[in-house]
Amino acid sequence: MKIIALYSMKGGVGKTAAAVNLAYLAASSGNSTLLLDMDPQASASYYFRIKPGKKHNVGSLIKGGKKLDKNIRETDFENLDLLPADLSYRNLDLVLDDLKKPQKKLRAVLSPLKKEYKYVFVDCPPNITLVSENIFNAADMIILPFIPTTLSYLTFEKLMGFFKEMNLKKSRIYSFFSMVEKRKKLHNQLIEELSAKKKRFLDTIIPYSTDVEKMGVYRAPLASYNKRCGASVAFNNLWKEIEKL
Amino acid sequence: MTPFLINTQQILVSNNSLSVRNLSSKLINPYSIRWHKPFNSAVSFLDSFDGRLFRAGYVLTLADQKILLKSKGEYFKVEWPMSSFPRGPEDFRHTKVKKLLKELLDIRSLTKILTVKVTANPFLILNADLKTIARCHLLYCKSTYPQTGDAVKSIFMFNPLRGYEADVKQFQKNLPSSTSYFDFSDALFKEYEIDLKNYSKPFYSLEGKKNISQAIYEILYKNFLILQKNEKGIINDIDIEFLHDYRVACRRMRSVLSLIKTVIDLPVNQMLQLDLKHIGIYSGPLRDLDVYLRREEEYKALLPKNWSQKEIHTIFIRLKKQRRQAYQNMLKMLKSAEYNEVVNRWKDFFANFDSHIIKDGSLLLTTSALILKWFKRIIKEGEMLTAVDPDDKFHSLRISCKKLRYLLEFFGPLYPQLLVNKAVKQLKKLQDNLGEFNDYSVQIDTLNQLLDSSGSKKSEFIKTVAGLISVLDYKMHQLRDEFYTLFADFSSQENIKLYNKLFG
Repeated sequence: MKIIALYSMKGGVGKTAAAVNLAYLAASSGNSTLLLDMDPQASASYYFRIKPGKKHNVGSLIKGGKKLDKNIRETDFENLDLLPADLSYRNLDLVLDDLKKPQKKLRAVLSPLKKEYKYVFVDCPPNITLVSENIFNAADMIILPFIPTTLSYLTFEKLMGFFKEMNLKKSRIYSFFSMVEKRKKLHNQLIEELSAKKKRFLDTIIPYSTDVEKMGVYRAPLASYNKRCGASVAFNNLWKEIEKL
Repeated sequence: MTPFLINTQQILVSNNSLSVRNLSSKLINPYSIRWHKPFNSAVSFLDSFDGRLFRAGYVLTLADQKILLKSKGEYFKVEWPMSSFPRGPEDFRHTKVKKLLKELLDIRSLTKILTVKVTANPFLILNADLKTIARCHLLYCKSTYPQTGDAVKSIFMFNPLRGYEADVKQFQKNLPSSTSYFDFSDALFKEYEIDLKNYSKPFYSLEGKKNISQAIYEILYKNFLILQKNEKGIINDIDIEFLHDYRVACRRMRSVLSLIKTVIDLPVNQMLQLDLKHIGIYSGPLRDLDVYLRREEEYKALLPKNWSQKEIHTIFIRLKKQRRQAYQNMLKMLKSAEYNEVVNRWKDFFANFDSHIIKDGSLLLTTSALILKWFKRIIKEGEMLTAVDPDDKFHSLRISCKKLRYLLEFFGPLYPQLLVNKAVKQLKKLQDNLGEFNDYSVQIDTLNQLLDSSGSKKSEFIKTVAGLISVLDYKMHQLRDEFYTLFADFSSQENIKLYNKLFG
């Protein structure tokens, strides 16, 4: 089982769109896949038209085992399941803080799912807290959607610094350019600069696209209703790149 | 392959009260239905004639040029582009399927059990968020084999998505009440009353209060049905068990007629026995060869390792040729006007059974006396056997034992079961010995005939056949030695007491 976290401490960078589309593409290639919606906004769950069960909350997530199992929902797409987020996840930090070894709790919770899933994608909330630290400890790969702006660069540097400080393996971090607008000079400049400088950037560039925004209207992964648009092709290329890592 | 064959689902059979048209009207808020394009498929279920796969929890399906071997825990999918059905494990390349079928079927072959034409109407059930909660099929099924008239069965298959089982149950509550089945095959087998029980052993509902004539009727009739059921399998030469079961049924019938002579009008009784004897003339040699042909490997192991095994193969090629002839003879007999007359005579006998009864009596009294009589007869025959007696005497004792065994098989359930089982167990040991002795005797006869008729001057061939004869002869002597110990147990005071207690 490979755990792939889509993370950024900055909001609105395309984490959820990437998590939903990559999980869908992994599943549609025949891999048993779980999408773990950790963001209390529950946008990934919304895209799949899935609401959490009445008894699902931060407690059942932390307890794991059967409690967690019961709350996993099959999506409309083959091989793809989802653990929906609940608003109570906003208190996850507080709950984790009360536990022994709180940094590694998520890893322990996900461990029994090894037999069932080949890939687990985590849609992370936009912050850098105990929850993020848990995700960093559990994930085999941390992927940062990166809008080519100065602020994004700042958050990227901060994350690298955090990993160094906490003695975490930086080699698990990858990034890709997200929501890129080719007509913007700054975007092009930063892409050129960073691609040359930083080894952690993947080749695929995800363009800014209204087709991606329409996911909220269709409430489905992009490739399930539009395989040919530029963004759809780009996500497919991105998945092929990640799959090989 | 059509998903309704693979998925394990909750199934409802709706007795035709639900259709594509009126299903939507049964819906309650917040559910809705999304129909997909219908498609047609022909689905065949294969098994051995006596349902060995089914009884071991497996179902083998052929549809859309694919074969699916499924149990509760696993399934295997195999491409099957041929227009013909597979006959057995040897037709499969898939190693696991081959091995599994070999274990499950043993010597039986696959045969068609049921074929249905299916019009499948796939649909989704959606909740208020238009999220799919179940993938479903409304299937209209019509049996084309066996043909059951025009009746179309409508089957609903619900495959709830993980996490939505409770919602689907809620949805089902609004449907007209119907029967729940485990999966597609379970639904079809029950709806079309496909009963894959073991046909070899009939179940007799005999009670001590009944008259002996009623018991005779039941035993004869049930075995006559077995005989008829196996005819087609013999004609199509599907596997050797059809003939075996056919012969066993004949023998049971013949035994009843010869053991209980006073109940049925004697000329009728004798005529019916002659009918069965006539069948035996053709079925006997074929059965002997069927048994023989399974022994090639065994024979190879009998001779010294440094001897050439080529000649053994030659022997079996000759035996196969003989078997082809014996099969043709059997086929000719089954298709003859004479056999048709025999079958009609038996049917007529059953239809007018009461008119053939000349003397009736209590079942329990008659059977007790009979069982004791044959038990005593075996003791007497066995005690007279000496080491120098010819094989025929052992053969005659074997027949007597068989008669006692049939009596215990037919009427044993009327007596305390545990004690009867004990008696059967003791008798079986003796029968196994005598049976094996007889098998070797038949094999030696066949080998001698081969030697006489072949005219072969090849020394290797003669050496091989002579070698086999001497090994088999040695084995027969061993069995004779064992016989005396086994017979001493059978004729022990303890066993005599047991028979007296049960039937005295």
